[in-house]
Amino acid sequence: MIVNGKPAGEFAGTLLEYLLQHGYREDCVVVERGGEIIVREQFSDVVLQRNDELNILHFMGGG
Amino acid sequence: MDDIFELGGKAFASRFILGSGKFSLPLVQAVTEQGGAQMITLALRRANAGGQENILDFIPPDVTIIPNTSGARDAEEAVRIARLARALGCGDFVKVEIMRDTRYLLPENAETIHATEILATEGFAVLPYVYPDLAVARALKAAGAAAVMPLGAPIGSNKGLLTREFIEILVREIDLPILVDAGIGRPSHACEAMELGCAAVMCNTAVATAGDPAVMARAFKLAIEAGRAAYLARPGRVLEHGAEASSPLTGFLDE
Repeated sequence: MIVNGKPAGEFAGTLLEYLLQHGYREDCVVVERGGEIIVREQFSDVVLQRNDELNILHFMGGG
Repeated sequence: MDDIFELGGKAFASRFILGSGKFSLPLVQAVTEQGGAQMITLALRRANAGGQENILDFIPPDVTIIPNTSGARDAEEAVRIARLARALGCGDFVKVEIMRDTRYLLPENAETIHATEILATEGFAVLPYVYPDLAVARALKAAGAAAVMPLGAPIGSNKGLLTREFIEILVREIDLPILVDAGIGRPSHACEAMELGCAAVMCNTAVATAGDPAVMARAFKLAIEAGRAAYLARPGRVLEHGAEASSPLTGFLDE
């Protein structure tokens, strides 16, 4: 997989499991997979594939 | 006196929009509270792995989140960021900012009109950040913008209302709230914008680069309130020539 622009190996499991195992705040992120938006309610339904490209995004300070 | 500011279907008592960049997270909370801000802008970026605090933890729950599209270089990227930001569940507001120029950070007005059109159709309350231009502001109104955000001076410059004449034209001619954004460096600049009839002022760098940001946030709050009150009070006329005594000129030594 590619996660946030970097190679991230493979992961067997759901998106929610990936986020929790890597210490992301699942209540504060939105995920883009191959250009498709995945919201929090769908995290546990999405099974990750080896060629997935994910952007894991959150809010930060900005004007 | 009730002076409610309506924007994007919501009512606000404060006319101070705070930008949250360049602050430590605890300071975000302090400046929001001291400034009495009810709207705060945020950026959307990639998150890092590993447990961490999130800026949302430091924003009081009654404050409205306005995601910005910073980083977008064209309408397509701005729309993408806006949709992702809305998916985070913080409401329908979006501040559209589109820039290609990295030296002066001036906005791409034409792309901004295009993005506004798309996002307004999708139900966003769109706050487009633009160079103040009457034709552009009219196009934004037609595109369904909720307000127009003209820049006062280049982003982060703290130079004040360099575009004052053109912002005044927008206030007079455009039937939308005019929110001055960018370049406001001092409370006096914010006060001046409000005296002109702007509906609100946004600032970030002016507060973030102050010696004491929390106290500066409070100073901005007071200045914005003063300017708004002065606008509502309708400032007195300016004499073109000469003077007009404030004290009676007769009644004592002239007798």
